[in-house]
Amino acid sequence: MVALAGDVTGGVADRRDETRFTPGTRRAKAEISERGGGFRHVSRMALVGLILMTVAFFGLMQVLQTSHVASTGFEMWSLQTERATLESEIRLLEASIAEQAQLERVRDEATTRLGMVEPETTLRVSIAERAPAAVPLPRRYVDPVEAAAAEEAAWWEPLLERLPGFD
Amino acid sequence: MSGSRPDHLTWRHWVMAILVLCSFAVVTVRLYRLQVMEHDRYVEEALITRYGTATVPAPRGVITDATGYPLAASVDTWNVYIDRFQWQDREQASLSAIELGMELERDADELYAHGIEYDTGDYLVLRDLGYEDGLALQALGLWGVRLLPSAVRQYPEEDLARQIIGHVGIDGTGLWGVEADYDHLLRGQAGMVGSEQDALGRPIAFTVGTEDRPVGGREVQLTIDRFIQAIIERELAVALEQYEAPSGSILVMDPKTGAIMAMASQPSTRITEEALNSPSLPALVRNRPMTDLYEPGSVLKTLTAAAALDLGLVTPESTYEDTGSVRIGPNVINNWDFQAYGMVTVRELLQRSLNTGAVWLAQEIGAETFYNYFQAFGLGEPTHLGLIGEAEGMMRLPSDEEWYPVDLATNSYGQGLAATPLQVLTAVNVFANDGWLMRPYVVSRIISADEVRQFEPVQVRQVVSSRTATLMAGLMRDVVNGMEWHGARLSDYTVAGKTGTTIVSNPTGYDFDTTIASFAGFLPYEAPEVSILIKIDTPGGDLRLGGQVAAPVFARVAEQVMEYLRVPSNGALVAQP
Repeated sequence: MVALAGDVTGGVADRRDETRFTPGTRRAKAEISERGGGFRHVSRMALVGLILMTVAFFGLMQVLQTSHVASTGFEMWSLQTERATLESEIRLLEASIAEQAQLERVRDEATTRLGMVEPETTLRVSIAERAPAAVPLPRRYVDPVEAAAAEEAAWWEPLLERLPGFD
Repeated sequence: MSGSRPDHLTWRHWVMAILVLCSFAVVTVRLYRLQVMEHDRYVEEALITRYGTATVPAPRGVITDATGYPLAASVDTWNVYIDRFQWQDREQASLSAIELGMELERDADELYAHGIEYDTGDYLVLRDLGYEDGLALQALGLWGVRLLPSAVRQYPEEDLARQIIGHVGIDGTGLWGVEADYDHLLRGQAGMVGSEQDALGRPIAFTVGTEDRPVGGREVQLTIDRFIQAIIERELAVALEQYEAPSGSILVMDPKTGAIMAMASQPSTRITEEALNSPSLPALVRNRPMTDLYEPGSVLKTLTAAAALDLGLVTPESTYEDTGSVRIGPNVINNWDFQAYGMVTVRELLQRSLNTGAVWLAQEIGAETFYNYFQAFGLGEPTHLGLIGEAEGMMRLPSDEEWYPVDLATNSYGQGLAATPLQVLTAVNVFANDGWLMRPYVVSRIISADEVRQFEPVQVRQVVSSRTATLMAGLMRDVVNGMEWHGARLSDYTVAGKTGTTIVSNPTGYDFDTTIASFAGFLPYEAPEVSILIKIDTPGGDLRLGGQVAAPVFARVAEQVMEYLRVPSNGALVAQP
């Protein structure tokens, strides 16, 4: 845009130069015209069209950007809603699991459906094995597994540590 | 304008020009006031009218037991409202009422009548509609029917440990127990969603909105084990019926750490069937093992004996002559059975639970040192277990005006002072823990999204030496093992413990027919895993002594707890590979 404006101004100056400047100057201008004088033939309509196209391009870009932001926003909103729904369902399922594991219910199931009875005598047998750890419910209350042991260092790492500034 | 000179201005032109200018001036001044001087006010008003906000409740934190089982958890629900402003469109309202009535199984005419009763405001149709039912109702898009998120508290084990866990009111606030004491952590922080809305208050889709997401409450993990809790609640109910007692408490602790594994008391109530505004509710939901005081009785003879042993004044085999009674000024103190046993060792003193022996030991110790020991055992001060409402106990000291020399004598065998069952068992735990007094605690972890706060066992102080503790544990073992008929004996485990029979005081003295039967002990003696205190108040049958009433209950509870914890027994068969 700046270059075009400069050339238009230059065209006006050229007309003044024809009456005032020396033939040497005129030659120089002719050379300039041969190199970049194509702009002199750009019509005003074309210029306006170009400007309008540029404006339209930037406008389109903004529309596209806004549209993209809106669709991304909608996608985010959908995902957040889905996450909230899933979290709610997780809480429902946890409560349902807890109800299934209720002591009275387990006792009822054992005695009525499975026909189990209270033991009359208890025989205790000790074995040289640790009892399996009780698995608490829900799983997220299980203590996280301890971090895996660090990988063995590569052969070159001890060498690197010997260099000054790498310890 | 034709025929007139274009540059000629008549007075009419001037008048018009001045009027136009004045109008512009007025508009400019008005605009200046609106846009500049009162800018902030109108921006605020515009926001209020243009933006609608809705509170999003934070999910309340879960309370879990020691195994991670959720004892209290919240599930999402919906509150269903009718927007009366929108129901001014009677035709749409009528259709909505019919469909809403069908969905909620409510009378459509009644809903319609409530919905058009006023022109503004909301009408709450239903509280805590199930989450999935709410989603289905929302999908129908009924005119003027709004669903706002809510939550309801669920207690999967229903009434188990409810005196500890507590309850949440209709407003989502904890009313008692952990729910109340840790409400600030469990509650979380409600969120706020704001969006642009149209003139009818309906949110406009995909407009710029504000969102302050709710922060879920923290999860509180207790040291309570629901299996052990179920055992003691069941056994307590059986014992109260068996011994015709109106009330009682059972407490189970880990003597090494001070963790409370189970704690129950009666009378209690089925919270699910009790009205929350019932006047009797506070008494029924009280956590008695930590709030109610009683005279511990002979269980405290172990503390007296420990002090004397720790000072090197006696050994388990030291003797005194029991004449059946001892005179302190004008007061005469007798043995509980009014018998005299002659020369008696410290070991026999505890086995026979002789009051005269405890008085002898207290006099050997001296009043000041005696009370220093009792205070070191934690009597007379709250244990600071982390729940609100704990009693600190009552114990007169020689420096108090109301203290008399006979107090030293009565205190030596656990009368004339008051303590909570929690204080008593915490003190007895010292003998199972190398002489260290541990601070009891009921909350083990507080878990948030980015942090886990672990509560470690706290050693309060070393009350007696490790040697004294070992000696006392042995003496308490002999109390149970030395008597063939002792009710607390187990065939597969060695129990160390001491009975207590408290004569209940009344305003005029003591009622000798009314007792509190108790037993405190730990097992296995060789490597204590649990300590248990049984307290049965005023048994009404023929059996009224601690050894007759509380000791058998201890045995029943202890056997089940050992089995549940898979503690190897003395007599277990050993599988050979």
